[in-house]
Formats: sequence, structure tokens, C-alpha cells
Amino acid sequence: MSRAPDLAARPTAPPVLLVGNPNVGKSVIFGALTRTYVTVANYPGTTVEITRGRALSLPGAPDVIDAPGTNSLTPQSDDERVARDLLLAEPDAVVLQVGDTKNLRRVLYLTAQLGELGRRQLLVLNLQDEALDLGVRVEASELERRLGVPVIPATATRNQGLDAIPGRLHQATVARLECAYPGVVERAALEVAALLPEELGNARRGVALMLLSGDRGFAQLPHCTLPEGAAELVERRRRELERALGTSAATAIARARQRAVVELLQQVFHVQRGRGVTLRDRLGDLSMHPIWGVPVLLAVLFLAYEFVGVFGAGTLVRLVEDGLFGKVINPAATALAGRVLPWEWARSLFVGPYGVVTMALTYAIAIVLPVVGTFFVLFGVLEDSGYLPRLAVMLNRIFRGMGLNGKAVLPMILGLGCDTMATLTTRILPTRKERVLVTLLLALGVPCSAQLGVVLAMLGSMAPAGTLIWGGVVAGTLFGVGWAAARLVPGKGSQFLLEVPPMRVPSLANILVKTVARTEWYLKEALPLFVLGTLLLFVLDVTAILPRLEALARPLVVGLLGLPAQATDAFLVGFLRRDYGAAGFFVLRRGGELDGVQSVVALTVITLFVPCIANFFVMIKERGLKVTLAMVAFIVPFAFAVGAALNWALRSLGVHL
Amino acid sequence: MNGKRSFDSRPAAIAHEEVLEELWTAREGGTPLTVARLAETIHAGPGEGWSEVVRELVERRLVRLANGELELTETGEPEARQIVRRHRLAEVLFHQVLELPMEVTEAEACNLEHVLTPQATAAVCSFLGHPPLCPHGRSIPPGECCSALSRRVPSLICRLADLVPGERGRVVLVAPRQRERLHQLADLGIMPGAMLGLRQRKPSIVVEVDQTVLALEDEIAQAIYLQPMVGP
Ligand SMILES: Nc1nc2c(ncn2[C@@H]2O[C@H](COP(=O)(O)OP(=O)(O)OP(=O)(O)O)[C@@H](O)[C@H]2O)c(=O)[nH]1
Ligand SMILES: [Mg+2]
Repeated sequence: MSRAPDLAARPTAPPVLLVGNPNVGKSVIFGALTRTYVTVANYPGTTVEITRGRALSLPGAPDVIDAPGTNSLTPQSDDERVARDLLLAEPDAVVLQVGDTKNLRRVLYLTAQLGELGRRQLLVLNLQDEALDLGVRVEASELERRLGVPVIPATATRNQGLDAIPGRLHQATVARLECAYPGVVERAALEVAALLPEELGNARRGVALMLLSGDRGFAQLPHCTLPEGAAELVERRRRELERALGTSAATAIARARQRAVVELLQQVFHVQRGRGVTLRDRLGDLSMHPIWGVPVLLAVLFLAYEFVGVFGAGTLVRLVEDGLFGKVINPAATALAGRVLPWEWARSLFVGPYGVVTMALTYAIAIVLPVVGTFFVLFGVLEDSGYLPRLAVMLNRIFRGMGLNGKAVLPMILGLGCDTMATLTTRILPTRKERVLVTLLLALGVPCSAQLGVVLAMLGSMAPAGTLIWGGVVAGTLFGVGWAAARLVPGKGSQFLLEVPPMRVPSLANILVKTVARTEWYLKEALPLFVLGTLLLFVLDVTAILPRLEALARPLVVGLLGLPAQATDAFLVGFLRRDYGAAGFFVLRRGGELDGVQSVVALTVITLFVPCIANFFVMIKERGLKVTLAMVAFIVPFAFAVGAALNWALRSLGVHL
Repeated sequence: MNGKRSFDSRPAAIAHEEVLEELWTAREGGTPLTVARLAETIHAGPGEGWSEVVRELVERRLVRLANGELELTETGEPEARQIVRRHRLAEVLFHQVLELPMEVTEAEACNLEHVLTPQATAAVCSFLGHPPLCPHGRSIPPGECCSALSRRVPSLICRLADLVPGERGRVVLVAPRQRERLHQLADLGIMPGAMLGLRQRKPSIVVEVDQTVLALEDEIAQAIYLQPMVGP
């Protein structure tokens, strides 16, 4: 083909690597350069994985790589390590450093380190609009003259300034930002650099400084294996250095860098009076105020309930399910099947009680999709506004009871969107213990949007007490398990330290794109599993195994949980996806086969049920097979035990819902 | 402790101060001392020569004997008070700020109490934010610099956690328990010389450094010492 040769051709320019502090717009710029959407949201730690894309607008159509943000190249957490490792793994890549103009100090602190690693770079000073509002002015041309690298002011969300990148890419050079380290540090750095492998080239000085700062993460890096015995030499040299300095080498190095940065700042960074306090700032402060923060949270929950629970799960589901599926698709499919499929079994495969159309598609598209869609819209607004980090500030103390801190609020809330994604986001947590705890809690009892929607739809059809009981039991269980696990899981927690970004007005475009991307992902992820689950039920049904399984599970499902025997089907598909299980209950409930108490018990068990298959695999990837299996082995019996206890309690108290 | 060092090698002034300090502490504990008991319990090291020291103190009218028990005189009282104050301030400095173990703290405080000038004592006291109690929980006799505090003159140095929301200060010392924390704070710009402002204390401490807003745990805020700034 002669068209679109660029896409097929291999890149002729070295890759471009996006590096910068967290939450400064790297992913927005990645999207603008590659026309590939990666999640953009207003909190630090949105990106936790590496994404590659092709930038056809750049000369040589290079690969562009988006990476997690970092405040330093001597990493303090897993996500920061990803960025540093990537930098060393891509020695030829041009660095496109993205910085927040108003926080130039932190930007240049990173530039100094990139310079020491000998990296060719450009500097994009993003968020010009916010800097302007605050009265911050940076003399870009003067900064460019001093650093020697192209400095490009930009407002990425308005697509301003980014068009300068293609024309200046070839001017990328190593930044000049000399830090005057104490003489002993310089000498030690020279000695350590001499021990490092040749391949590192002019990154050696930077790597030597990292090693002297006590960074031990190098051992695992492919290019950076130290020669025999060198590691011990470095370690000895570091201890000598620290004795000579009378302080940690990292501190001395950081101070020298800051001093150099501050000196440069004085030349190029000016603050005049900005605009006063805006409504946005006020709202941000209120949302983490010790008293006002609570009504704000309640208002958010109320809006969420109205939008997702009432509008999405009520109005939209009725429209799509009763209208589209009930009146159009299902009758048409049944009629079609009746005409073209001569065999009874084939007909019921598509349109029977366990039919691909009548069950799998109806569940996935008519019941779950409207709810998931509305949830993603709401969630996008919350993410982009900057509310989530403020919620972390509010909940820090509660989370401390679970051996965690406010930072863990982010992955837990993200779990309400999708537990699989949230499990990846545990990387922003500093210690292994915290990552294990949050992974467990996500798998145990944070309902993902799909499930939450179905649950809300069901609860919406009964007295509010039902919602309160379900919410109370799930939250209480999460807290109790968290509390106990914090005492059983070895290791240490960490102290709360979280950057709170400014409140921002969510952009409609970003929310739409994000919602579409997430919905697409949901369909790709869930639909096949829904079909698979339905086929499984179908096969079990025609082979008459299902009734036997139901009989087998009777003591548990009917006896202990007090549910009808058909509920077994829902639990079976629940092993594939919790939301599918919940949808099963939804249908039973509507058929009048579950009373209020039964509904609450069933929903509680399915909420605490095993995570979905995708989450299961991500858990294995992040936490290892052994830990994952141990978690699942705990979760399944535990979910049933809580359900049984709840059933017993509600029955003996004579509760009617 | 200095128990091993022979008593005779100490300059007379130091021995005097040791006795005055001991008398103050004993009175605080409600156990009056006789010369014999003093020689047994004195923390600078029990020994033979103490009765001689007591005789000199009585001669200088710093101490008197009443019914065989030792007492501080009106002139002895303020002297003892200053020594105790220096000792306990030194304990706070070594143990709570520099986090030295208690034995080392004790030994160092015993040395420092004899050499600090009034001016240096006031500076240390201000640096520590005029602490009311020593690490053992006994009260530190306030000095003049402390009553200045009650007249709302800002102390020289305080912890970030002690600022009032809306106040700002320049960082002088960052001393967290965990080393990694120090690096993390440095990467965010919190290091000596940086200007910090306290936004709120509850439900979590929120501070601003330049244009960055950070939420942090109380313990971290306890470990950041700064010089409060007056005005905006
Ligand atoms: N006002 C304004 N907002 C911006 C600009 N650039 C990015 N943003 C917003 O800043 C937030 C962070 O953007 P991201 O692209 O996710 O930042 P990132 O650097 O990839 O963040 P991490 O992946 O968390 O490190 C989003 O809410 C963006 O909409 C800008 O130029 N002006
Ligand atoms: Mg990103």
C-alpha cells in the first residue's frame, strides 16, 4: 500500500520520553503528540504504567513514552522507580521534561538531575494558565539561555504551545545546571563513577551520585550491573563520605542541588500579585475542612446516588432493558431464532433462560452498561476536579486504624471504578505492607462500578434501611478485616504525605473521552466473560448438572443464607465477575423471588465475593501467586460466613425490608 | 554519668553546682537530704569529699543546715534553679530533638549544665520553643525568655505542628525518624531555608511550600522545625 506509509515504517528518530513531577500534564501532552488516550486526572499518580505511542507529527515519527511522575531520580516509591528505571533503560531517548510553571523550583530540581545523567532534553513549562492566574512569571528565554535547552511555555489542555515541540526537538541538549557539591562529594563521585560500566557513558556521574545517595535499586537493572565487588566498594565509599560530611550524603547532595536551583530561580522566576481567592479555591478548602468537609462529602454521596443510583440504574436501565431489549431486541432475536434455528437446544443457546442474547447481552448491556456509563461520568468529574486528594485528607485518620493512611484512599476510591485498575494503582503506596492490605481490601469488598450500579439499582427498590444495612456491613467488614490484617501482615506502614493539587474545572471533552475509553474497556473486558458465564450455565443446565449443583449448595445457599436455590446460579457466575452475579440477583429480585432481607444478604455476599478474573490476574502480577491464592482462600468462605451471620441476625431480630 | 571520675579532680565550682542541683531535685521529690544521704545519692557520683563541699556552700551562704537537714538559702535558690533549668533543657535538646539515647543524654546534660552561659541558655530554650517539661516529665524552671513568650513574642524556633493555621515560617531543621522521609521531603522542597505556611491542622495537617500544597502526618510535622515569621 502506498497510503499511510508513516505508520508502517519504523521510527527513524530516537524515542521521546516524558519525564516530570506528578500531575503536571505529561499524559495530556502524550495524548496530544500520539493521538492515543491515556488516563488524565487531577491527582498525583494517575499514570502508574508505561504507555508507548507513535508521534507522527514529530520529525522521524518517533515512539513517545508516557511514564509515572517523579519528584526525584532517586526513587522513593514503586511508581517513581518505574520512571527512573525507564530513563536508564532507554539511554538514547530524548527527554521531554514537563513541568508545572508555578512550581519551577521542583521542575529545575529534576532538570539538575537529568543534566547529571547526561540526558538530552527539552523543557515544557506547562500550566501557564494557572501560573498567570497566580501572578507567576517565568522568563522563558532567559531560562533557555542559562540552561541551554529549549524551553517551551505551554497550556496543554488548551493545546497552546505544543506546536513548538516538533520544530525544536532536534535542539535537545544536556541541561547546564551546575550544582556545587562539597569537595568530598565530588571526589567520591569521581571514584564511584570510575567503577561503573562503560556502557553508561556520560550517565556515570549521575549514577554515581545516585549510588552515593543510597539508592540500591540499581542491582536489578540490566545495563547497570556493577562489576564484581564494586557494590561493596561503593557502599564503603558512601559510609566514608557520610562520616566526612557529618550528615547523610543524600542530604548534602540535595542541598547543593537546591542551592543551585534557588540561585537560578532568582534570575528567572517572578511573583506579582495574582488574582485573589476564587470560588474554586474556597470550595477546595471547604472540602477538606474539619467540619464543612463532612457536608461536602455527604453532598457528593447524595449526588452520586441520585445520578448513578436513581438516574442510571433506574431511569436508563428501564429505558434500555424494558424498552430496547424487552420490546425490540429479545422478541426479534427470539423470532429470528425460531425461524433460522431448527434445533431446540440451539434456540435456547441464544434466547433461552440461559441464552447468550437473553441473558448475557441483556445483563451486560441493558442492566450494567447504563449504570457503568453514568458512574464513569460522575467519577471523571470527581477525578478531574481535584476532590479525591482532599477526600484523602478527610479520611486519613480513619484509614490509620487499618494500618494505612490517607494516601490509600486514592486506590480504594479508584476501586469503585474498577478494582483491576485500582490494584495497579497500589504502586503509589510506599510500603509492601500497605500494598498488600489495599489489594486485599479491594478484592474483598470494594464493589466496582458495574457491581455497585446493580447493587444500587436493587437497593433503590426497597426501604432505605436496606442500603444502610448493606453499606454498614460492607464498610464495617472492610474496616474490621483491615484492622485485623494490619496486625497480622508483617512489615511497616508509612506516614501520610500527599500532594494536594489545585481544584480545577473538569473539561467536558476529557470526561467524555475518558468515559468512552472506560466504557469500551468495560465492554471488552466484561462482555466475553458474561458470554462465557452464560455458556457455562447453559452447559450445566442441559447436562442436568446445574440442578445437582443447586442441590449440593442447598445447605449453604438455602440453609445458611436463607436464599432460594436458584441463587446458586448467580454465585456460580459471580466467580467470573461479581457484577454478573449481582445482575443475577437483580433479575431474581424483579421476578419477586427475593424478599428484602434475602436481597440484602445476597448483595452483601456478592459484594464481598471473589474479585473478577481480570483483577485476579493483576493481583498475581502485582502481589505474586502465593499471596493472591491466600487472599482468595480467605475471601470466599469469609463472604459466606458474613452473609450467614447477617441472615441469622436479621431473621432473629425480625427485620422486614 | 560521671561516677567513675574522681571527685577531687573536679573544679570546686562544678562540685558546688552539683550539690545545689541535688538539693533542688530532692526538695522537688519531697525527700530532704542530710549530708550523709547527699553523699550517697548525688548523681555526680557518691563519694567521701562531699561534706567538705557542703561546708564551703554553707560558708558562702548558699546552703544552710536545719535540724541536720540541708536546705537552700534565698541566695542558693536562684542558683540551683538555673542549674536545674540548664540540665533539663539540655536533656530535651539531646533526647527529643537530637534523639540521643537516654544514657548519653544524661551524661551530656551533666556536662552542659555547668558551661552554658545565660545567653546561650535562653537561646537553647527559645530554639526548643520554651518546653515546660524535661523528658522525665519533671518541670523545667522557666527563665526570663519564657515569660517573654507569655507576652506573645514569638519564640525563635518552633515545630511546624505548633504553628497556628495561617502562620508561616522558615525551615531550620528537618529531623524525621525515617531517613527516606528526609529525602522525600527534600525532593518536595522542604529543607532548611524553605518557607512553609500552615493551611490547616485538622483533619490532617496541610501546608504549602511555594505553590505546592501538601498534606502530611502529624509526626512529620513534629519533625520539622522552623523560625516563625511575623506578618504575611
Ligand atoms: N489548567 C490546566 N490544567 C492542565 C494543564 N495540563 C494538564 N492539566 C490538568 O492537570 C491534571 C493532570 O494532568 P495529567 O496529564 O494527568 O498529568 P500527569 O503528569 O500525567 O500526571 P501523573 O500521571 O499523575 O504523573 C489534569 O486534570 C489535566 O486536565 C494545563 O496546561 N492547564
Ligand atoms: Mg499521567
